[in-house]
Amino acid sequence: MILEAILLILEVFIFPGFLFLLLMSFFIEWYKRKLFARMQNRVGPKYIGYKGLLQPIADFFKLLSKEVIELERADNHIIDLSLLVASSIFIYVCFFLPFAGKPLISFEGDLIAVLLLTSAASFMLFAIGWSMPSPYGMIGGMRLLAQVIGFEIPYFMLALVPAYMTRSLSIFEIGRRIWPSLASNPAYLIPWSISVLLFLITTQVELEEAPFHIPDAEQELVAGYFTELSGRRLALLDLAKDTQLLFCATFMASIFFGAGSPFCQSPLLCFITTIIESLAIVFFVVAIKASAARLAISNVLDIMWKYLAPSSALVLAISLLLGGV
Amino acid sequence: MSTFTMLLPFGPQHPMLHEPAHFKFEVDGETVVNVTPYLNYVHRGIEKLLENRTYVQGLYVAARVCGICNPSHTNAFVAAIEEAMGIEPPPRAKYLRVVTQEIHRIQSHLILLAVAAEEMGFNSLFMLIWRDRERILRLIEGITGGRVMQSYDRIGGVYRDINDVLAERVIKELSEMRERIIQYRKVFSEDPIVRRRTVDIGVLRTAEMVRLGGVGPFARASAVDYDVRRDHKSIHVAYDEVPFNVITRDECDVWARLIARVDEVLECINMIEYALKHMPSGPIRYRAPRAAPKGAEGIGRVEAPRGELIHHTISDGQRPYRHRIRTPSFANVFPAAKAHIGYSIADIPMIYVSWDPCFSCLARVTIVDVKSGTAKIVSGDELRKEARRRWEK
Repeated sequence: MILEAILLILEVFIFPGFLFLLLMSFFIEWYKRKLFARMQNRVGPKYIGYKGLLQPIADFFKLLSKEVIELERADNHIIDLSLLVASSIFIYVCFFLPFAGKPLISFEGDLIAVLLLTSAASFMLFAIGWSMPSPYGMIGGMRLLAQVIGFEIPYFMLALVPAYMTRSLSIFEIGRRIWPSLASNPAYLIPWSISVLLFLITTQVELEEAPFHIPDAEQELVAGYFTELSGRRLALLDLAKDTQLLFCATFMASIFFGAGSPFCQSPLLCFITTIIESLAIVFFVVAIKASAARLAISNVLDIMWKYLAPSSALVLAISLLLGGV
Repeated sequence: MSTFTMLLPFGPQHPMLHEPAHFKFEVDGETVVNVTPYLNYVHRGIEKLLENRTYVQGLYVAARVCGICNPSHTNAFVAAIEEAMGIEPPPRAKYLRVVTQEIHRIQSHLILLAVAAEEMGFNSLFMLIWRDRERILRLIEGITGGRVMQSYDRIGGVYRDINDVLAERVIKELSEMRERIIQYRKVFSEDPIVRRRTVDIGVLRTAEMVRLGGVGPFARASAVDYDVRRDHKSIHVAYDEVPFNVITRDECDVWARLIARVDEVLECINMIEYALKHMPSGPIRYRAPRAAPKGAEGIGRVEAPRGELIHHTISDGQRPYRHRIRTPSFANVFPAAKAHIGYSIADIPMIYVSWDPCFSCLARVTIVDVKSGTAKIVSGDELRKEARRRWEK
């Protein structure tokens, strides 16, 4: 009993809990920056740690030590609250992900819960921009909201495709059953492969990476909704964005690629496969980011509503037909 | 249209701007309904400085009007002074001037294309173009001795000669560069996102462009067929002997302005190759007199990378009595501001970059009396007096 309690505490705080998620977020930020830099013929993080591996941690602690500038006319309580809620949601949803075998929290229907929580977090980011007195923050927040409303529907529908194929609404179960169900019904490969591509695009929108980095379009809105954040607030936001990247990559890896479930017997092997799959997805995210210019907000809404939403509905319908509703 | 508008300030410090300027955009939702430019952040009093220096000293001041297109300023200054003195440079110097002018046009246009890529959030393209510009800068250093600032043109000629080895290297590197530029042209004309961001954005029709007085590639992209190099015969540069095409486009949008520049770069490479292969022999510099006759006037008109640049000088013997500079960016501000109206916030950086702004050369002090509605241009002396008066008070 006591042993179990200690084990649970270790799991929550060390692996795959807070400490691991924190370090993994920093690592994935380094990976993203280094990859992006190499794709642009730059060097990227270099000095702190082996090949600049500790640079994100150094940045984080430096930001923590800096002064928070509170704007007089900003709604400071809402900003602090939204930041806290947003960053804790992104860490919390990572608890649902099977990093090494069974995740910390798992129940039938957690897929829906996770999707709801992430859209709530996006709304919190909008609230930050909206509480700012500056036009950059306000316009950035409004753009974020427009984009979130646009991409949430295809994101939901595409996440339902593997859920339907495996007849489960739990992330862990979907991951465990996705390969067997694809093997037993090869016709599923068609909707599966299309939805992988579309899901990658919606992930790009969720992460606000190019060509969808519109809410924080630097040349138009400086930094969009987080223009006026500084010090600890900015550190918290950066951490939240890194955790979001970690979450999105691993989430996609687990519901579409089963994230290490073929090696479920050995936790270490399972962990390594999961990480490799997530890093591969981050690679594709960064590759798209490096080879695209920014779309205008009107173009994105066009793409979302005219193409992405109908085509994801179509993919879902195809998989329903193939499954024989 | 709703009556609620928001003021969106761009500047004096903003990631879109690479020099201090200030644009106040009045936006209705995402649509720009009005623009007010405020430009006077970098007044340096160069025209006044030139009046206090001899012509030889003034050469270096003129080069510092602008960091990017300094050879154009030197060239225009020298042309104005040479006209006032009534001298003509040797033929070889005229060809060398063509080479330096055009190679600078290449690097200036590459800056613009890179910045355009960066403004649309395409950082990779920005990095690649910047890497190629670096090679051009090395060539410029080989020819003139200076990487960015040169003062290569002298009154009565140029500063130093070019030898065959260097000429061959320039031709070889430029022909390699041509391949790269053709590739960039493909990116700018075929990439779907780049096209979405530039085609039919910031349209200014020919009549409007002429009415508002735009110059340079900015105007030529609106089908204004005017190029100082072709339309204004100059005895100071050999543009009448080097064949070239004037690039005009009739799309009138941001895309046309960018592609016009890419095509101009390709044209520049041809011109440099022709000039280097057909360079006449002879001296590169005549000994010029120190002074021009009092009251003699000279006008130097040059097609700078951004458009028509005019230096007008009235001699007072060894130094100018008055030297006036009309820079292309100054002429382009008004059509550029007009081009924003009716387009969205997302288009602001693209329209802004398409006229290739460069502010350090266009600041003037004009004091406007709001009550009576009168305006007067103030000289440096009066400004100093005013500053002293305020300081003592």
